Amino acid sequence: MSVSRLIVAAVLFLAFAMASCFTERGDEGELLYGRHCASCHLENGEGLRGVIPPLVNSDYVEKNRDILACLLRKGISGTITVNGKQYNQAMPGNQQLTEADLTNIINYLHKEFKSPKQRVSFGEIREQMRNCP
Amino acid sequence: MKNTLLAVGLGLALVTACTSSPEEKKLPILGPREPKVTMVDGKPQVDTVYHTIPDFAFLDQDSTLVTQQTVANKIYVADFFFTSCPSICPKMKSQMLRVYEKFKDNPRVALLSHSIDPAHDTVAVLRDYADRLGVKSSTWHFLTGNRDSIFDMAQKHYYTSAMEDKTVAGGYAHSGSFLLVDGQRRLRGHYDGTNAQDVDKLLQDMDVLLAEKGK
Repeated sequence: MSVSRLIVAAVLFLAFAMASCFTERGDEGELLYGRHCASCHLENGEGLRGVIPPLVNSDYVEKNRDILACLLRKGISGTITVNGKQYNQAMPGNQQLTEADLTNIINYLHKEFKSPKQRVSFGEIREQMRNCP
Repeated sequence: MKNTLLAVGLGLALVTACTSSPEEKKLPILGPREPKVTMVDGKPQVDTVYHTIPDFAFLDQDSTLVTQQTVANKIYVADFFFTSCPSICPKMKSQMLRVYEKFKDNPRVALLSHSIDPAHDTVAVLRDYADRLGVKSSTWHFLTGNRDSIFDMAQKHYYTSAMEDKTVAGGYAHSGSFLLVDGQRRLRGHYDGTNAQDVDKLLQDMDVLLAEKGK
């Protein structure tokens, strides 16, 4: 009786421990976003009025879905148009981001800010990074 | 009877506790202070001399010279930033926009954002930045000028940090502080401009300071 209860407890404990592992993996995108993106685009992805473009429902992100990982790693300079407004502040590149990091960040953008509209896969990002413009 | 009196008394106490606190509250005066002894009618009289922001002269986004005269009899919020800053500035500016939106039509309030990269942040660059934020120069002045004077103001007078540092992103290290200054140019509050809760407090403290001056 007590032994079987002990086993149940142990299994439950393990399940919880594992679950916390998985959630931490799931939060990777959020952590990376916080570290590399949020100081300019802000936690809510709204950017800074007129200066830093928003990431929420961004048509620019959607249009550039196929080179998004390249842009995150190499940065952007010059004027771009986002949701009908022009922005000219340069975005610094992030050479240290791995393909896995880029995948996690882009899927975080998809989940939180609805752009890009579709998730990306690791394979897709790996392929994209080989053909950066 | 006794109980009714007690209840009325308690009610009154509660009402006054809620209504009187904003007027009663007084902000501290920050910074070092010195006693100043003067002789009045042969008797020594001691006054406290508080730390004040000295005279200054910087150009704003309209090429207008902004001096202590510009903020005379106003309360103002000062901060230090630069337009190409890749770290905390966008967050600071989005918080300063909250301050601007609340007080933009109050002629007794000004905001002074000093650039710590004045070589890059010329009048034209600041003008573009202010236009992009969509703010008017009568309330919010973006300042440029002699770099050492601006660093000095930050470190020696506003007690915040601002310096060149090639090791950090953007090339300049600075705090995200917002400094609240009263009509006599005394420091009355120090807030973390990257923290929304701290800026909530600044917004409340500005109301307190405006009420204090009105008396």
